[in-house]
Amino acid sequence: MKKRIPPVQKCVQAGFVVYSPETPIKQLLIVEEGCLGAFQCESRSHKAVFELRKGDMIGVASLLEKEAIPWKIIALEESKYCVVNEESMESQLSFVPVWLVALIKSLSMRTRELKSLKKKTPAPHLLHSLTLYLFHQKQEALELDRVLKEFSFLTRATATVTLQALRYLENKGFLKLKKQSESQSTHIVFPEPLITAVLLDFWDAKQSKNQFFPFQLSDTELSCLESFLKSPVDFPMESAGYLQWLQDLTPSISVKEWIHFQSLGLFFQKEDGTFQADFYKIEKALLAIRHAPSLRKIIL
Amino acid sequence: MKLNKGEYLFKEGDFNNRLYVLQKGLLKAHRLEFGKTREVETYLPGSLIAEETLLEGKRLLYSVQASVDSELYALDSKNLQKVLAKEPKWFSSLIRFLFNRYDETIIVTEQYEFIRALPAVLYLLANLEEELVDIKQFSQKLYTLNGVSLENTQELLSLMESFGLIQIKESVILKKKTKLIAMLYEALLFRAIHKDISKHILSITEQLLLQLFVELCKKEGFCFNEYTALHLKSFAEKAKESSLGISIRINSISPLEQKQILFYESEQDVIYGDIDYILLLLELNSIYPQLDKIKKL
Repeated sequence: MKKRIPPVQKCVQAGFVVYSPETPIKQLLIVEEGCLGAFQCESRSHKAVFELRKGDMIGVASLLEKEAIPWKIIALEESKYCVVNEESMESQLSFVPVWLVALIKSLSMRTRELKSLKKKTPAPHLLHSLTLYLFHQKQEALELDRVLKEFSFLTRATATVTLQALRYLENKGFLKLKKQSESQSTHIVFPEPLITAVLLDFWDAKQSKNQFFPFQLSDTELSCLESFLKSPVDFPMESAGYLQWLQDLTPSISVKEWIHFQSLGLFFQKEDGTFQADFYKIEKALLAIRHAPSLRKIIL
Repeated sequence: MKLNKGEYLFKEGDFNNRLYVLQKGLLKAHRLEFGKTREVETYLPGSLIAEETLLEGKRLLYSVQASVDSELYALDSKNLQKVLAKEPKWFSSLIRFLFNRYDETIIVTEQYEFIRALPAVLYLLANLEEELVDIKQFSQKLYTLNGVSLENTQELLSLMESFGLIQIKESVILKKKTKLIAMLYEALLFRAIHKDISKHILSITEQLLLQLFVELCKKEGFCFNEYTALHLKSFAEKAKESSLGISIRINSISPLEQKQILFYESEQDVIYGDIDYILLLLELNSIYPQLDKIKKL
């Protein structure tokens, strides 16, 4: 026959050390009478943290989550308390329905998970988050130390994790971690200033499950855009004029490609009906193509 | 109880005070985030569902749907009380404690997430080039940067609006004071990194002096080297006469001089400063202390 092991009841005088973190024991303490004090101990100083009175308990995490009580517990007056140790808890759990045992474990686990969230970055994808942050820095060189601190301030990402992400981007050739000289601090350098914008477009497309727009361009279209950047038109023109210009640069370009360029937003129609090139977008597209092998290998 | 494939056990926002134990089948929990459904949990036989609502009942933050035909049994708080009535008192206290601790942790975590989202809101608002920002796009960016929920984004934007930093017009954010937003962000960042107060954060005396300077400049300020200036003598007299009753000597303004906010020119005995910058600083200093008091409603 199963036997219930009851908690141990104790009665102590003021000043009695009920629990010391130096000798951790997995136990739950429930105050029945009097008052116990929890103290944070550093060398010889005792800093009062809180008081426990009738009905209060301490050590739930110690007993259920194997997290030792971090405070020294001292009786502040004559007190009565009961101690539930592992043995008595186990015997008690054997008397209750399984769903109640599962409920205890679940509440305990969920609380622990919530507490651990504080230490984690809430950013759903660190590389995407880091790219967005870097994109808004709008500088060609950034001091690494400051970036690590600021990004941690914004997202709670640890310096180690951020550095790993930066090294990953460095390995892919998107940026460089550079020291100008031994005495100088490390800087993040972007050899191509538009790269963070390209990366951001790439992540956004991946996240929304759309095809990254530069990857929708054919070889002919790409060669046409390259030629166009070498001989650009920086004033608005009629559709026919633009098409003629592009055909002069790349004879195989047809109305189909011209419409495709418009649908990708590389050329856009103004209110007066004329067309203009979006040079920023064209440059981003061509830069993305130069980095296509690295981009294609990145998994979000 | 039985659930057919595709049937909902409950939906996000429903009130519930039951614990469900899955006996057979497979259920999935999901919730709506930015208009998209995100799966948050999968329940296998033996799993508990909605246990956090058992003691007192509450609205659920997720929906649970059967992926296959499933069987469950439900328990309510009466079942719990019935079981606990037979158990020792300490055990009932422990169960109640676990529920309370879980609820408190949720509240603390929500507050923490809300407060920690503030720098990200300021960072994006300060750095987005456009004066008009689409709320949906902004929320998406904020989620990307720091996983901020839509609810927190909306609440934080309302807060920014109450400070006069932005204006929300239907689905658009109109940035009203980008420079001030950037300064607020920098002040918070400086505090976090250097564990110190930014030079832009002023003492009460410094703020009072600057307020007086601005007030007097409106009446008798004059242009001096592209700055706005006052005669020190006049400034000192007015300060003493004012409700502040401050006695001003040249060393009274030296902290502001060190911070390069006000300057003194001895030959002509004038103090001068950039009035726009001073107004910005005064506004910054009126909002900054309030940021430490923000709370999720």
